[in-house]
Amino acid sequence: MRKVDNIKQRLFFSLHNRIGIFLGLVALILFLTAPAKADDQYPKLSVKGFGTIGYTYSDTDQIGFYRDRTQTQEVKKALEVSTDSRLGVQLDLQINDFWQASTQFIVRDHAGDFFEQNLDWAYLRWHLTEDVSVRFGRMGVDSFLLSDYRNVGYAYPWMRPPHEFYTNIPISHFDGIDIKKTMSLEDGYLSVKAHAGYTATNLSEEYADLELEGPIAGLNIVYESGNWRTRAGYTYIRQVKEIQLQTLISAINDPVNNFVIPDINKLTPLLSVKNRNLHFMSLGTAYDDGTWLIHTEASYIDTQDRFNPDVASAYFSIGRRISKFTLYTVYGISHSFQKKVTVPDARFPVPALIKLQQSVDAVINDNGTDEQSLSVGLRWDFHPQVAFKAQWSHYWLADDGAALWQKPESREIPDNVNVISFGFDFIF
Amino acid sequence: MSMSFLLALILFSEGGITMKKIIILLLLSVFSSQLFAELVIIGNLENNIAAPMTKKQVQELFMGRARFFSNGLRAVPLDVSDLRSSFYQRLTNRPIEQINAYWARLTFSGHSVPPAVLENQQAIINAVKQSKGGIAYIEGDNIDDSQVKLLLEIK
Repeated sequence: MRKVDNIKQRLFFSLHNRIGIFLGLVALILFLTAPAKADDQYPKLSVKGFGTIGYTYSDTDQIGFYRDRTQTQEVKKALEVSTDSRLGVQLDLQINDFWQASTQFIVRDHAGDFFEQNLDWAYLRWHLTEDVSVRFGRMGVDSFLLSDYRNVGYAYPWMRPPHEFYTNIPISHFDGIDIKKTMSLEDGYLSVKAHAGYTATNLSEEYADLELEGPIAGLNIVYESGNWRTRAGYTYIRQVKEIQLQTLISAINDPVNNFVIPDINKLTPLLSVKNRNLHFMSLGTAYDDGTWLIHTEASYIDTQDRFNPDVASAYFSIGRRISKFTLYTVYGISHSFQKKVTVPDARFPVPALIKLQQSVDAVINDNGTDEQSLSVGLRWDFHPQVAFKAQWSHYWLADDGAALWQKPESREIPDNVNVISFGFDFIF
Repeated sequence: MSMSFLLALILFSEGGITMKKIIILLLLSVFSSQLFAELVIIGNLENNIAAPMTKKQVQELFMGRARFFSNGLRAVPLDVSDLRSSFYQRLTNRPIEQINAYWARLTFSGHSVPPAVLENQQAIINAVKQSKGGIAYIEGDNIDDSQVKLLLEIK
């Protein structure tokens, strides 16, 4: 089955993780040894944070709702606090006019090692000139409009970033380097950023045998002018880790099994992700004039494996502020492109054989996304640092289209799901 | 407009002008001077930037879009906690929650950090006097040309 073949205890971090943690510790030591000085002198340290206390209720016990494919939710119908709740702490140390060290740690539900996976940043930034800056260490992947602040609920109107779009983008950080140049253009600012490094992300239990890991590189361009902010991004990842399906692979390559389920071993090449290339492409724009808020974004993820099929996603959101309230609605759609592969039936109706056939079928064919949703919600800024939000979302799921949900072993998915959530977002 | 309407309402309401109303008027005028006082943007006396600056230049420095004055000097924008809401409302025409959300996005995505916040106007004047690139705002009544440079008045 797709359940974890072997649960790896990540006792020893790989090299890039150690570099990230090392830089985090450097920042921490600099912080602890920095003498307290007057406000306008260096080094200057700030400790800031953000968080959400959110409750999420989904009206089905057939599949589990998650915000991110890195979450560890179970399939159950209950009021969940771990879906949207999180707490982020950020230390910024301005060493002088040109150097800055930053660390961000987000306490949240994330598969894998709690400390390592939740350490989102630990980097040093060097302002070479007024327009050019370089960062070294661990930092956020920001190819999408919201990806570098997707955990900061206070910064956007919704309970969470649009599900169809952001749930499928599990990578939040990488270890490496990026370089950014900002320039004035017409009435606005154009910034171009290139990044390269190495990333490793653990996925939810359903995909725990699949760890996204490998070299990452990309480019993004942001243009901000007046009330508009537009971003185009491209990110490339080369998957270097193999999916852990040895048990299944040896089962279908067993001569007896291969005879009773004719030629099932020919599917072996499909049970692999190693050395595949992933391309993430997106274009998005946000508008905010103080009264009206619009966000819209479209993306295409090009992959070459059965486990992350090619997928196109988009959303459109419009909100209207009325005094301290923001009323909003969001429509999202995500559709994957993958042809179903027929897995031959067993010659004899033996339960063990049927189960094997179904397992292979599920692994190969159950990774699609075919989802739409409509949400309406309210944000109430009752305090300058705290906002209350409530949101209702209705999801339509088509056959084999629930890759963004925690699925049961029965493979049965509902056609409609309602998710109701409310909570508080704060900054400090 | 709303103030004069309020004054007219008090003065010409039933019962003519009484002591009580005069006291209310006095209180209101004190109160309104705080609500409607002009804010001035101040800088260090050694900053040779041409005054007045434009509102857009001030906006860029306070919203983290520019780090330097047009004369090349590194800017150190500072906020005053009790005038913050009224300053940003005038500078950007947006309430403070929106400014905070804007900074939450920039701060927690690692782009830039908001101005440091000081407690009161005296602390601000001292900080601007000490820092060559200092830029801040105070109420117009509190400005002293011999201590800080007037960069812009905003109503």
